[in-house]
Amino acid sequence: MAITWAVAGLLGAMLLPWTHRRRLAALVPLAAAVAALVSQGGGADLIAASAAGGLVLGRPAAGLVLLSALSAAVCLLLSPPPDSGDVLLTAACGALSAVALATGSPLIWGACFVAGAALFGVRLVAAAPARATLAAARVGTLGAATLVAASPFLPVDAAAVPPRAHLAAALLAGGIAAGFGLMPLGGWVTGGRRLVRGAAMAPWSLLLLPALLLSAQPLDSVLPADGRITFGAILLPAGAVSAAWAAARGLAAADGDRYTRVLLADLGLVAMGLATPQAGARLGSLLVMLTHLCVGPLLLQEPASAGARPRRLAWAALSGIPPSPAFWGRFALLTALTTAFGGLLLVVTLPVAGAMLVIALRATVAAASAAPAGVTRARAVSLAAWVPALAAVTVGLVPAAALRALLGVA
Amino acid sequence: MQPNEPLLAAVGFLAAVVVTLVDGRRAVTWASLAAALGLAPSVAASYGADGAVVLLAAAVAAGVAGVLSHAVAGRLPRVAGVDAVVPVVAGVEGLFGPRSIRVATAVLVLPAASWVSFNIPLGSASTISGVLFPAAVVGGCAGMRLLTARTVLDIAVGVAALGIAVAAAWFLSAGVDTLSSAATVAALAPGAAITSGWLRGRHRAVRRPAPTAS
Repeated sequence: MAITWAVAGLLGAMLLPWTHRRRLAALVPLAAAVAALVSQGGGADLIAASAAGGLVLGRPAAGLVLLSALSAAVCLLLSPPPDSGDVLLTAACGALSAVALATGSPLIWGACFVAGAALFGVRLVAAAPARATLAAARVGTLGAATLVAASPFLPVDAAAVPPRAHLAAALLAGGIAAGFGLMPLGGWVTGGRRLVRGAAMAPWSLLLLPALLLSAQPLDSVLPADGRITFGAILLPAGAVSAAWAAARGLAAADGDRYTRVLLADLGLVAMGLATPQAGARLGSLLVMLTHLCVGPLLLQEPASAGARPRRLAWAALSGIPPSPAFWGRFALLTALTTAFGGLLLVVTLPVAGAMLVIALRATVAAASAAPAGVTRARAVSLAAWVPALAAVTVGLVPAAALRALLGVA
Repeated sequence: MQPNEPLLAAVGFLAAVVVTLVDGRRAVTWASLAAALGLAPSVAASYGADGAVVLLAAAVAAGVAGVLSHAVAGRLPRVAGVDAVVPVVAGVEGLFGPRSIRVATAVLVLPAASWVSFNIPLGSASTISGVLFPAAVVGGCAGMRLLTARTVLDIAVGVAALGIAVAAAWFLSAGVDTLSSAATVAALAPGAAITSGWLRGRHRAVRRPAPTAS
């Protein structure tokens, strides 16, 4: 799959501008999706933090690689024709995320995210030189660097001396916090989003982020008791503050910023869920990830460029009103957090969920009133705009079946 | 024969100084070479000569790949964009320049690297010897370079030095798939060199003709 990504990306970057067919860039991730479909993985994923070695794509990881590739393909189809740099970046991030999901070595796992974050940051700086994009390169790459810095201290078992467990857990938590854009490390997400076209964020939000999210799920169960305390002590408050801040800022955000705020708020909840080994937290995180993989390709676009009706449906899927997929994901997360840490967390999580509902409703109204006049799009693009929204609705109607079919998770 | 730990630590420290201070068009090459030369002795002493060869090969590959990518990009039409050596954001006149800030942050790495190497067991090495210190200080300085980056070249230098430092730490810890994993992460150095060389070549500054004396 990584080779398919790389070859397709190189060919696309060289041939598409030369043939004046940049709109066909969506074929690059589509080729990777076909490769993922053909080579469907089996069995459980390798856990990089266990340092068992090897390179095997388990069933959940294979499903995620396929979904990410399809999501990126739809995003490229809906966005303005990308240039060679965007195509190369998408291919590179796709290949790196596939390797990160397949590897059983913590060193390779961290190195993939370092390379992906560095390339993404440099591309953002090249597209829009500014403090926010420079911060994206700095924070993203440094965060991934802490993941790779943790690798020599992994695996950490119960017999390890406490400082080693605490250090490894702190480095892992710091890297995840930076990768998720948690406070105070997430300013680059909203700042960068304002400076570049929305689809420029797609390599991070549709490829690298889901790979980090899935591969970080088993960390809490792999770390010893000492490490779990440090891991949770960093991610739980950081996630709570991030979710609350992003939700609060999202209430007053402009139309183009709303999706980023909702994404950051959901990432805050997911980060809190990583602090507990509860199965409900894992299922909730995966459902939230599925939701954003479905609606992201549409909502990352400029509000005036995409169809109003598909956008309204996508925002409805993000609203958290049952049976939207976001409702099931957030409900599972909140239930797991309450079970693990008590009802006090509801003081934060319930208002966050409520705020995201209000944000989604406002965005739905704005999408109806901001319908572009006289904009003509190719019929294929207009039809493709419905795919993300309908996919999200399907996941919401049958969440358990969707998880089983797409990721092999029961 | 027991390795001379203070000497290895001193060599690693010098490498970290170069990683922190080096600037200019060939910064990635010099930083990679310094990191590899500074860490190769400790890797050779703890793991073996093949580990040192991997680090040095990565540094040489970074130098060659950077020159080649710049040359190839230079033959292509110039495109407007950010030159890798030019600061992304214009800085305000201040008391401390970028190198001073890097040195100030790198100074914080010293006690942290020392604590890690003397308190955290790593593989089969004893914590008392501090065998991890050279890799920790070079890796930490690479991280500080990323944190204080003002140019794309700073990002590339940080990534290159980080790759070599973590590869050295992996050799010292005798991690899983030691040689192949370390070689893979050390490949971040030539990767960073290729990226920065390509960007310098494609976004090269337009040469203005010298003004004629009137």
